[in-house]
Amino acid sequence: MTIDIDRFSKARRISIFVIAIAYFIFQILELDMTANALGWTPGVGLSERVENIGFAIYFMGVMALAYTYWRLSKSDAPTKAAAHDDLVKHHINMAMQLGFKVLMIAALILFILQQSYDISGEDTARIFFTLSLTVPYFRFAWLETHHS
Amino acid sequence: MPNHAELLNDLKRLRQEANLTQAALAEAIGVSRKTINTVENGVFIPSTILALKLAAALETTVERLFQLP
Repeated sequence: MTIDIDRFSKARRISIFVIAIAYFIFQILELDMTANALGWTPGVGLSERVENIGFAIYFMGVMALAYTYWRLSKSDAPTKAAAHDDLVKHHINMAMQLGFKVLMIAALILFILQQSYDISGEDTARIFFTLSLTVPYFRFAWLETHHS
Repeated sequence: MPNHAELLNDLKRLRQEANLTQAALAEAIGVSRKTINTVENGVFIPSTILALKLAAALETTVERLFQLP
């Protein structure tokens, strides 16, 4: 079965945008912590709702991305090759390079901030994990869109 | 000829001379149409393997397709 590679690419980058945005919402906002720390009680309930919505969108994004690859798995060899050609590999490499640079800068910033602020190991891990996922996702989706 | 800081190419002219669309050339060598488009516009520098495939599909040489500025 031959699928439309342009449509496949569009579906993939939309899914990745959705995943990255939603993941960012439900990981980084962490309104619970902020609201609790500030003693802002209404914020606690709000943060739960925001996180739940973020997770729901994230889950739908992952399902949409999985669907595009499920469709691709049923296609013929030339179509699969075209979907993972040199340009896609180049975009993945560029996205990973940016992710690495951002993590290096984040490590430096966190090191400096830890001299003045109490930043827990869990927060540090969360920041690193979120950046390592979302930055390459955003960059890859942007490159795929820019060169479409 | 599209300008790139590191590589010039004559892909568009040679493809048109061969009466091929971007999609047809892409299908012939098993890449996406976007890849052909970005190579033609000087956005993407192809790998050696892709350059050889392009040359073979257009019945020309890599040196005719790509030149250093």
